Amino acid sequence: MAENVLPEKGLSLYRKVRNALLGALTAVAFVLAVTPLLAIIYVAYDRGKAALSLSFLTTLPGGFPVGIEGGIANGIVGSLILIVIASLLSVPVGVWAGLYLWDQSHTPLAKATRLLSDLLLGVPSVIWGVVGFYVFSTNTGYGFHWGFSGLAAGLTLGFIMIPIVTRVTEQALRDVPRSYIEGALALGASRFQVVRGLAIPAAITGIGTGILLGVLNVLGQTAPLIFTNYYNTGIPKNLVGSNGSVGDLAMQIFIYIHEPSKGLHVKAMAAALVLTLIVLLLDMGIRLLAWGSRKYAQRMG
Amino acid sequence: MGVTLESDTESNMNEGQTLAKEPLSTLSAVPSPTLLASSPGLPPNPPDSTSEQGSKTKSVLRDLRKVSTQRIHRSERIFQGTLLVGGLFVLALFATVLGVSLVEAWPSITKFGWSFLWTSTWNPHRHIFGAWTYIVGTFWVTGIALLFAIPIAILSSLFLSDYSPKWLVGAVSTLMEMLAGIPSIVFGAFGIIFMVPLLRDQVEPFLANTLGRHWDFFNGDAMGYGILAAGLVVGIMVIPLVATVTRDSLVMVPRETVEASYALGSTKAEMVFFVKLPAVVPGIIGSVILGFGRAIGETMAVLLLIGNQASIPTSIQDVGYTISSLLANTFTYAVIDPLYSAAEIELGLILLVISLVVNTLGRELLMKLMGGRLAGSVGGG
Repeated sequence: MAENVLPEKGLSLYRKVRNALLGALTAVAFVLAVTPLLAIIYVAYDRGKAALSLSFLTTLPGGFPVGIEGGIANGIVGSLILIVIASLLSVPVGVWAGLYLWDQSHTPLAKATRLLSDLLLGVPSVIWGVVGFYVFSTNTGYGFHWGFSGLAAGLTLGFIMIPIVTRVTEQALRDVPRSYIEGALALGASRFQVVRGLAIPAAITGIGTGILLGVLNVLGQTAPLIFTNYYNTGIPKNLVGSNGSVGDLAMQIFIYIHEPSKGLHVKAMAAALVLTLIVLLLDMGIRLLAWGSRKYAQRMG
Repeated sequence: MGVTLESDTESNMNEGQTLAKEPLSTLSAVPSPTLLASSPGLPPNPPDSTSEQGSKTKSVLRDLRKVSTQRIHRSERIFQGTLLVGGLFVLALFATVLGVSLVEAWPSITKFGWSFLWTSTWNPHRHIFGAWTYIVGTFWVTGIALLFAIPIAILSSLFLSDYSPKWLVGAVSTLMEMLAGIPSIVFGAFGIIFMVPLLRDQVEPFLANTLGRHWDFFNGDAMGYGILAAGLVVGIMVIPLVATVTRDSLVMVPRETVEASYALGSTKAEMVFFVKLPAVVPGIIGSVILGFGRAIGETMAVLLLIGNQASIPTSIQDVGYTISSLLANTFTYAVIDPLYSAAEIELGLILLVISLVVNTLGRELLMKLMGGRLAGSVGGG
C-alpha cells in the first residue's frame, strides 16, 4: 500500500516521535485486547487438564462433594436436551416471523415488530429468567406450573432464541436476489409458491446460520437456568415436574466454581474448556456454512 | 379492487428496488395462463377458447376467470394473514416480557412509588426495599468495564484497520468475533481462578501503595473480589463487541478522505488519529452504547466476582452488588414473600428499561450508519 512509503524526511522531531508513539499505542492496545481472550482458553486448559480425559465426557458426577469424581455426562446430555427443546420452539416461530418481516417489510406493523424483535435481543438474561419462571415454573398464580424442569428451561431458552432466528432469517431472505422473486411472481406463481419453492430454498444456508447462531447464544446461558431449571447431577426420566430438572454444562461450571473445593475447581475449568471448545466449533461451523454458500453462489454466477 | 390490492402488496415486497416496481405490478395484476392452467377447475387459456367457442361461452369464461382471480386474491390474503401470525408471536413475546415484569412488580411499585429509586435500605424482614445500592453497584461495574474496554477496543481496531499487516487482519477479526461468543460463565470462572488471585496479590496492594497514598479511592483491603474484578472481566467481554463495531465503521471511511490528508502532508498517525478517528465518532458512540447495553445486563461473571455484599462502594477495591447478580442470587428465596419478590422484579424492571432505552438508541444510530444490517452481536448470560 502507498501508506508504507511516507515522506518522513523533512518532519520535525516532535511529529516523528508522535507518529511512532501513536502507532505503538495502537499495537499495545491490540495486544491488551487479544491477550486476555486467549488467556481464558489457556487458563481453562492449564487448570483443567488434570481432569480431562475421554471418561470425563461420558461419566456422571459422583463422590463427595458431588462431582469430585466422575465427569460431565449429565451436563452434556442436559445441554443437548435444552437446545433441542429451545430449537423446537424458536425455529418455527422465528422463521415464521422472519418471513412475515421480509414479506410485508414496509407496513407499520412490520416495522414495529422489527423494532421490538431487535429490542428483545437486548433483554438481559436475568429478565428472561424471571419471565420464564413466572410463565413456566411458578406454582402459584397463572402459568404452566411445571416446576423447575428441563421443559421450562428449554422453552425459556427458546424465547431467547426467537428474536435471533427472526432477525437472521429476515436478513437471509433479503439477500435472495429480488430478480428471482420478481421473475417467479411475473410468471404467476402465488406468494406461497414463491416462499416455499424459491425464497426458503435460496435462503436456507442463511437460515441455518441463524439457527446455529441462536444455539450458540443460548448454549452458555446460565442466568435463565437459575430461575427455571437449576441443576441435576443425573439424567432425568421426565422433563416436567419436581424431578424434571436436567443437568447443564454452564450450570455445572457455576456450581463447581462456587464450591470451595480445589478438586471441583479443576473439574469446573475442564468443563469450561469443553464448553468453550463446543462454542468455538459451532462458530467455526457457522463460518464454514456462510463461506461455503458464498462460494456456491459465486460459482452459480 | 383486486388490482389495487395486488399492486399495493407488490410495492410492499419491493424492498428498496423501485426500478422494477412498475412493470412488475402491472404484470402480476393479470392472472397468468400458467397459473390458471395449473389450478384445477379453471378455464383454458384465452387464445384457445376464442378460436373454438362462441361469444356466449366467452362471457361465461370471463365470469369464471373473475371468480378464479378473486379466489387467488383471497388465497394470497390468507397467506399474508398466516404470515402475520408469525409476526404477532414476536409482539406477544415482547408483551409477555414487559407484562410479566410489570404485573409481578406492581405491589412494590404501588407501595414504594418513585422513592424506591433513591432509597438505599434493603431489608426483607422489615419490608423496606430500595434500589439505590444496586443501581449504584450496577453503574460502578459498567463504568469500570467501559473505562477499561473502550480505549483498548478503539485503539486496537485502529491497529487492525491501519497498522497491522494484511494477513493478521482477517485472522484476528475472525478470532475476535469467535471469542465474543464465549459464554459469560467461562469468563466468570476465569475471573475466579485467575483474575482474583492476581488482583489480590499484585494489583490491589500495588494500587494501595501508590495511588492509595494520596486518594482513599484506591485504598482498601486487598480481597481480589469486588467491583474492580467484576468490572475488568466484564470489560474483557465487551472489548470484542466494541472493537468489531468500530472496525466496521472504520472500513467505511472514504478512501478520498485518507488520501486528501496524506496529500496535505500528514504523517500516518496524524491521518489515523486526526482524520479517520473523528470521521467515525458516530460509529464509536453506537458501539459504546451497545457495549453499555451488554455490560449492564451481565449476570454470571459479575455474580461470581463482585463479592455480593449490599453496600455502596466508596473505593475501587470495595465489594458490591448489582441488580442482575442480586436477582440471580436471591430470587429463589424471594418468591416466598410477595412484596420481596415484587421489589426484586421492580429492580429487574429498572434494568430492563435501561437496557431497552440504551439498545434503541444504539440501534437507531447504527442502523443509520450501517444501512439496515444489525451491527454487533447478541448475547450475554
